[in-house]
Amino acid sequence: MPPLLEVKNLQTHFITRSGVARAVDGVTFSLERGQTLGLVGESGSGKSVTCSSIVRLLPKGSGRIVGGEVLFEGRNLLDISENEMRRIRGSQISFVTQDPMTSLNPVYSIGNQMEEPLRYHQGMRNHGQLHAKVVEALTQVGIPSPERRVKDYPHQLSGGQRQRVVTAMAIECQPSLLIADEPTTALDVTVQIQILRLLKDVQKELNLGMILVTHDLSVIARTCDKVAVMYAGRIVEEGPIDEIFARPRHPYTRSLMRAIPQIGRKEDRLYSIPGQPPDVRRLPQGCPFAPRCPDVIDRCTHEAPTEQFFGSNHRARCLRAEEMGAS
Amino acid sequence: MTTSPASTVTAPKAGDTPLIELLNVTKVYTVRAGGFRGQGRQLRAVDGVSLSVPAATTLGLVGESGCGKTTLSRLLLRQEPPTTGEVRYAGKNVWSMGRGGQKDFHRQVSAVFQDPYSSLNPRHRVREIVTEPLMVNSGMSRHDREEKLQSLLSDVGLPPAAAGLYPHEFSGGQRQRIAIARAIALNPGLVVLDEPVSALDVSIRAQILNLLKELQERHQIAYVFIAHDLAAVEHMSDQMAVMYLGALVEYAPVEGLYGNPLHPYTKALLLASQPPQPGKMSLEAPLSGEVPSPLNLPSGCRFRTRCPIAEARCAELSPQLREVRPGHYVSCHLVN
Ligand SMILES: Nc1ncnc2c1ncn2[C@@H]1O[C@H](COP(=O)(O)OP(=O)(O)OP(=O)(O)O)[C@@H](O)[C@H]1O
Ligand SMILES: Nc1ncnc2c1ncn2[C@@H]1O[C@H](COP(=O)(O)OP(=O)(O)OP(=O)(O)O)[C@@H](O)[C@H]1O
Ligand SMILES: [Mg+2]
Ligand SMILES: [Mg+2]
Repeated sequence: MPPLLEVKNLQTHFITRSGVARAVDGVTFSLERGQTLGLVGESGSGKSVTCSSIVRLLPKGSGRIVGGEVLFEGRNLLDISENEMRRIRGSQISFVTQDPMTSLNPVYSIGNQMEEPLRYHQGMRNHGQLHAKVVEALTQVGIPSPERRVKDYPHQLSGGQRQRVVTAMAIECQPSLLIADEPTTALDVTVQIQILRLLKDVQKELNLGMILVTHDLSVIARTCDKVAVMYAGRIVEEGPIDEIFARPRHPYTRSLMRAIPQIGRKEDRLYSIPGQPPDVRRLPQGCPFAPRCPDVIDRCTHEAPTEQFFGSNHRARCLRAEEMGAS
Repeated sequence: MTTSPASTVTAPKAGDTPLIELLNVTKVYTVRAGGFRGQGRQLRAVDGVSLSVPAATTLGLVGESGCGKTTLSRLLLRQEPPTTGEVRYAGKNVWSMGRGGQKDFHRQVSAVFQDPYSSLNPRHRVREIVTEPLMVNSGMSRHDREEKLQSLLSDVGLPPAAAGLYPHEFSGGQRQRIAIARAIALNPGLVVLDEPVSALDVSIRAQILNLLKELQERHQIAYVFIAHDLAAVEHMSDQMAVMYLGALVEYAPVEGLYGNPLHPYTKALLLASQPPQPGKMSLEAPLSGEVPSPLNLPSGCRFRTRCPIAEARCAELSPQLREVRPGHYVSCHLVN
């Protein structure tokens, strides 16, 4: 059986007046049923564009998938018709967008919108049944007084409540792949844990494959089997979570770990990676992280690093990855 | 700190009367109940909150999703009137100011919101977005505006070329930097920051927090900083307020709150905020029970349905916020 999802050398570009932005520049990874992949990386590194490319929901206009394959259960999603794709989205693959307002229509009530996928994908018609399903889904994500809140419009919910509504919609149709782009950013830790718990429960029940995009490394540590770290449109490191936390091989990953804020660490200034994020319209020759890298050597500025493997499932795109693991 | 004689400047210096104050403020929304003609139900989004922020200091505000933080920030920004209670800026009720006072208020107080997508006009380039407050509220020449724009962009870590681009050409995190550049354009006295860094990676988050602190020191800006990341709030804040279901449950100087949290809700929050450690973090709910509805508050203490130490009296009597240590307020019957 092929893996649930295999992304091979995915490339998505944006044509802008100021040049071609290589937002996703050769992304490769795979995901098994029941497995959770965490996707982390710098703001602007291409995490969201990777996700929306997989489900072919790029923002309208200039974005284009220019290369690669997205194999879902062995089938290339980039080859199928838009109609087929629409059927797969929302039934087999669910996508929670980073901004819940883009998935919610401001003029319909929450209940109305949550019934829609059940009607469309599951052919559910019975009014009472639909209502009960929706109320149950809202209860699961911890929205108080769900039977009353179904009548509310999106603007009447708090940021975190909207985010949870979108998550509830995503698991309603019992998908086999869930892609969640920052599903817990707007939540306090207590509610966050509740949502992660729910996702893990649903995962067990459905043998669901999950991709979680997040900036919160605690979320990764709590839920993921493996992590992929993105920088400038590429995965620069990937591996099992304990490996990545204990022995990060890429200097970007190491810097990222160092920047995790911690309670009780009284410092005047918080550590941040020096320099500015690269402009994906003008990537430098060599390694894109070189201008900011604490471990840079001469070669890095002109030689593009290829992937190096450590064991069967840990890889890093750095000329010095071998030494990095030793320190 | 000595006080300089107030001229026309509205923002008081640190140590003076608080810059902004909420006095027993309540905000009630009416939401529709079941059925077409169902009666409206009253949702108490903010319930009897009093707090104050001295100039050039930061008040950190944390609490459960839906507990009323954004509503509170709208009240501070004069975007919504309180149902009861008073909002005061530099000692004046913001709802009884004249035209000129209102204009001043809006120059003095700005905000950065949770959601960088809907808060930026998609039809405007970054140049217009960031300089709009300068055009409306300052007599700057075009040349000075352009200079100011470039310095704001570099402050928030965007390349000069960003000025000519539209918001959709940026990622979520980059958009939030644009919003911050806009908010600090007029050197305001108070900036309400509603989850300003939630969308950013930890490194850029640190960069922005460092920047916000620098700007605070340089320009004596006060912040109300809303966030879920307790380490970030600790780093930024002088005072901390913890909210639960519309009310303050604990209010203290930051060292007191982190060093010696008193309310069981604050304790649960802190306990659940550990640094990431694979394999060592559970998904056990830090609090048991369902979040009660603000449409139907529990009797007595609003936290008691989820409180690990609740007693019979907690269901009967609603605890008041009281000072148990100098400057450290908590509303819990069981704290001495
Ligand atoms: N519609 C667009 N037009 C032009 N460029 C775009 C567009 N959308 C995204 N990009 C560019 O693609 C790159 C990747 O953006 P993406 O949103 O995937 O980042 P991200 O990793 O999700 O960041 P964040 O953590 O901030 O959400 C960015 O450099 C961004 O500027
Ligand atoms: N316009 C409105 N009409 C009715 N109810 C509202 C409205 N705005 C907010 N509420 C309700 O008031 C309560 C507080 O919402 P608020 O947005 O202030 O929460 P929050 O603390 O900012 O939450 P989050 O952390 O999720 O952003 C919620 O129950 C919300 O549903
Ligand atoms: Mg994103
Ligand atoms: Mg909010």
